[in-house]
Amino acid sequence: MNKMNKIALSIAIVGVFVAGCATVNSSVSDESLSLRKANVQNENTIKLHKVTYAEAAPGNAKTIERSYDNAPPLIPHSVDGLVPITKNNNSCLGCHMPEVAPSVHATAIPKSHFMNFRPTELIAKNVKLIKKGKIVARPNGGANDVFATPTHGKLYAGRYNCTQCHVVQSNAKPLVGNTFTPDYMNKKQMNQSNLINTFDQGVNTVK
Amino acid sequence: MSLSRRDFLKSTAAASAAAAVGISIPDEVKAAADTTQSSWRWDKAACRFCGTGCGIMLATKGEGKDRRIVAVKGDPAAPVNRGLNCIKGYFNAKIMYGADRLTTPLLRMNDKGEFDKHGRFAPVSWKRAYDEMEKHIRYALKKSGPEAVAVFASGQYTIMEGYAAQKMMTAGFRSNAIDPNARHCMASAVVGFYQTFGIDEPSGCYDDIELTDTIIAWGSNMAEMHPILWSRCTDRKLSNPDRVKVVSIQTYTHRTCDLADDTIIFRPQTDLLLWNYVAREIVYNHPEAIDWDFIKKHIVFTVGPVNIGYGMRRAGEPSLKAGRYDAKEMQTIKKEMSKKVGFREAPSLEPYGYKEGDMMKNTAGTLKHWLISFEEYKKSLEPYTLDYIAKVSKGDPDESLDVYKAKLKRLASYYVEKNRKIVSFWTMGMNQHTRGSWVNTLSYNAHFLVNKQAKPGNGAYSLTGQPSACGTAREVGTFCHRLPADLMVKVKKHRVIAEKRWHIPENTLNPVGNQHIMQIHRDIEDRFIKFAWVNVCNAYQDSASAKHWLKAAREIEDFFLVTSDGYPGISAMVSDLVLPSAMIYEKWGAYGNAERRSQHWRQQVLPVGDAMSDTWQWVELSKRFTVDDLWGPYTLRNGKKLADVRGDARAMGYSGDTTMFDVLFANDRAKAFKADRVNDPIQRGYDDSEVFGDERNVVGSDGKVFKGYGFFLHKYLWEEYADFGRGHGHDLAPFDVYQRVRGLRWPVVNGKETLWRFNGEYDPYVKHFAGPDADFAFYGPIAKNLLQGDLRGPDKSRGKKALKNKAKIFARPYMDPPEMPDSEYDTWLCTGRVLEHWHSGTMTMRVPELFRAVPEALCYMHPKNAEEKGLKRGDLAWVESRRGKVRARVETRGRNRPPRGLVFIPWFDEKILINKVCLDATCPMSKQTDYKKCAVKIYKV
Repeated sequence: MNKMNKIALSIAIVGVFVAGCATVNSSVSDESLSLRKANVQNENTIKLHKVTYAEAAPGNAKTIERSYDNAPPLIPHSVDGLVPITKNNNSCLGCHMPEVAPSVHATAIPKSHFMNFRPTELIAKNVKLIKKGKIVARPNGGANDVFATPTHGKLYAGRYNCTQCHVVQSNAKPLVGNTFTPDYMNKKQMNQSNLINTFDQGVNTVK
Repeated sequence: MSLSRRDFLKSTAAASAAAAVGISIPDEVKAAADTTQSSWRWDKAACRFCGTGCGIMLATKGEGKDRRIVAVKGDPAAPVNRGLNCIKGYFNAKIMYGADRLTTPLLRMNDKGEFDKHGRFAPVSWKRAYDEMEKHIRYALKKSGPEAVAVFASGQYTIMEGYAAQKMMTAGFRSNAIDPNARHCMASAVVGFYQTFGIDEPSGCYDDIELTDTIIAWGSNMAEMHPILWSRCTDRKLSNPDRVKVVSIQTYTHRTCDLADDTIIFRPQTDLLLWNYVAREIVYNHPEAIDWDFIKKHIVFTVGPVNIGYGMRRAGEPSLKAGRYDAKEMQTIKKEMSKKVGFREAPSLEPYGYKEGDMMKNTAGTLKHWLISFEEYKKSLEPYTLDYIAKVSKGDPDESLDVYKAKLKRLASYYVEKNRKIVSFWTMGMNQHTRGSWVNTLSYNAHFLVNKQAKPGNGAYSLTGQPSACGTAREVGTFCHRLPADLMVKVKKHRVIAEKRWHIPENTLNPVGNQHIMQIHRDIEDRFIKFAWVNVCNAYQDSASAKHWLKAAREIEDFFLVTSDGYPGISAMVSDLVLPSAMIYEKWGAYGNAERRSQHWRQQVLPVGDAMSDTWQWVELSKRFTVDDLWGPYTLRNGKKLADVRGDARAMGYSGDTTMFDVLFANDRAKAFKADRVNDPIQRGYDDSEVFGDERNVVGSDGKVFKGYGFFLHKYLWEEYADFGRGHGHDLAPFDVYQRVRGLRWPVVNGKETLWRFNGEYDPYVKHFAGPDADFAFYGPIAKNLLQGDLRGPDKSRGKKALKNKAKIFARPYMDPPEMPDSEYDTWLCTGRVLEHWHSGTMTMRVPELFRAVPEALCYMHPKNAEEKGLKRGDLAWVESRRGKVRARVETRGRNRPPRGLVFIPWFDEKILINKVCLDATCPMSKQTDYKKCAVKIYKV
């Protein structure tokens, strides 16, 4: 990168630089560096904005585009009354199980969630730790096998806590931008998952 | 072979579906499937965030500096998480792409271009930045010696970064004032390990989850803080819901409780009572459950002093004398010197010779302990009857005592039940605790008594908070008192080992290591430390009593603060110099997780702007100092002398102007690790900005374009570090092995990882230390020769006793914390994290999806408390302690559901600096801050 580009980048980042000169004109205050945007000692000048979370009822919300190819979808609807997910009750499943989802306009839980990638473990009589399951790949010459055992239509229980991956969005305005750019395999991938077909792609990392 | 797009997609589906059902695929089709995303490069890496240590797969696309991350998926081959991540894990994809990345060094300057403490930040070259650092380090060394040069280190350092920092600090600057944020997170667990086992790190592994019948979460919100481990717990629970029991023991109800059979809400600090109650139930009411064979062969009983204070400032310290703490603050701080024994703690302290109303004179915390008999231990348990502990520990005023008692009885019964396997998990609840070291040791007691420790599916298990708290902070030893692989700076023999490995003269290393992270803050406020460097942490957002440290950073004219970071956070704001760091996947690295698993990754993309890795920053700093600069004589603060080793250095072949770069980093051993992107399958095709430079042509610390060190720096640092632990119970495999596997759990002996430590069936060191027939050996070497005595003190006349291969059960009483709610400050404040944000939020607050999910830190409160205070959900309230106040929005219906009398506020939010409110009391043994309890008042804004 040449010098001019570097300077341009600095300008882009802190906004008010005058090229090359280390003078008051090109400098920035501490406050402008932060997300706080206020003096660290003063609590009275902090601006806090009240936000609201998605209010549409399930079934009436517009799907949010995936953040990138096969990213877990964000929750576009209100979850009032639907959480917490407890050991006896998971309201998400009522609409999102694949057999129900189309009829209530819900995103169906994808096939990846009906596969157990963890082998069953048990300690054998000779105290060896045994791993049982279907081996589908042996990355890098067999150091760590990839297991995938179908759960036959039952949600893999490790995915029961939906809210550890799927979160509701508020209308808060991000404090800074993010320059990440997704690269969808195709247009459909903006709104669906095909992870079940691609989960083991690239697992051989040392050629 | 060519395929149409349609065929292409179809073949992908076929290949994976076929793989899933285990049928073979014609090679032609398979080859096509592999190239579906031919413009993407997938590689493995470790997640940037918590201590779980999930494996991720990163897809990058583009060439040179245009190569960027485009997708992330859970690594299906990673044993920790098997293809699943939590929401933060998936958004590793975006953490490096916040628009305000630091791209150039920034220095506070006046309008003449000179450094000015009161100036505004302006961009400078790396050379100018290093000129300033060098100048201020030289000043600090001259002013107060090596102890005046400090580093706020990290449990998020890569192993190589941590090792480079430690080497330059201890061997170069001869300063032990390097201490990580892991001090705030794991130190009590470490004291627990050292005191109980004599060696750091857990005995179990995550497979315990699949193998156990009972999961007890002690003050840990695993559902949000270790989501993937919780997903494994959930799978275990739901797969056998009647047999598998889950108990959540907490100070407020949260997501972890949602899966639990029982939720026990206790008053903050009284987990000490609960653990002692479980032990009492075993010893007094179910002696048949005690495995006496195991106890007699492997266990001893021990105790230490109880009047050890609370790790706060002590009388006579300069800033107390200077009046920097006001009368309100002193109300709490004075308990550091002496305190009146309260009614809650009096019964627990009675066996130790105290009664209610006694004045307890505190001495500074000590690790000292001595042997006692089983009878003495039993005597210490006598007070913890169900009636006593239930009355004091019940944390929800709206729960009936009988219901609460029934839950406690069930809890104890799970430990007692002979054929029930049981795992006790904890993290910050038990570690961030003014008796954190005690409560950690108490956890092992219950498990040892019934022989349910260090066995598959059985054990007390300390989960770590940060991605490399175990791997870097602890194993590398970036603590003020440690060297790699459990070596201690105060032990001459240990220093000599390090000096030999590092090819530096004997007596170079400084034997005094007492500047833990809170001491570094206090030494700065006391005008003693003159230079400090923040590495991979946010020391000015994460430390309690924050107002003092923020003020000191800006007001002490001759103190120079540097922060290296990817983004500008609170620490950067109060610094004098800010350096742009390469972030996680912009460099080679390795982390070690909470099951002793080391995981490596390669540099995926080039850093942004002029950012360079922290390893590079340390290595560049080493070029600025020579043997003559650093290795002369010094007198330390306590009067001890550091020898002049310049003559010895010459005898070793160094000259006075040999730089630390040549001694510590670019030596012949290092140069033997070849940089080779042609033939080495590990390096081939991957960037390595430190080794080769890169197309950005960053102008380096000498004003010239940085062209790379020319040898494989990361591999050298790894191998030299790993040699410390090989053969000593900390064995690590060769660098190249980790590039192929999804991590290995140390010790890795003869290529095999160790699953259950101290257990002869699984740990080869057991036979090594205790012979071929040994079933267990708790072989850690630390504190294995002790005096003997009773609960009130050691009896020196009885002499010392050696305890080879034994573990310890400690008598530890319940004691009140130094600050509890009263009529004015009537509410407990507990702080912590939320699922969506990591630590101080510098990365996750810049990911729009995570930010929008949780845009600000809320004050979670019981609806009745809110009503009493005239507050409604969504109102802003002041939360005020004796130390400071912040505003936060009230939430009465959120995921965290406190009982009346307690509020929870997370600390990720720069706008709600809750650490201004928190108290910097620590466990006086581990020096870990208690962020989980102090007293506040809450009122409407």
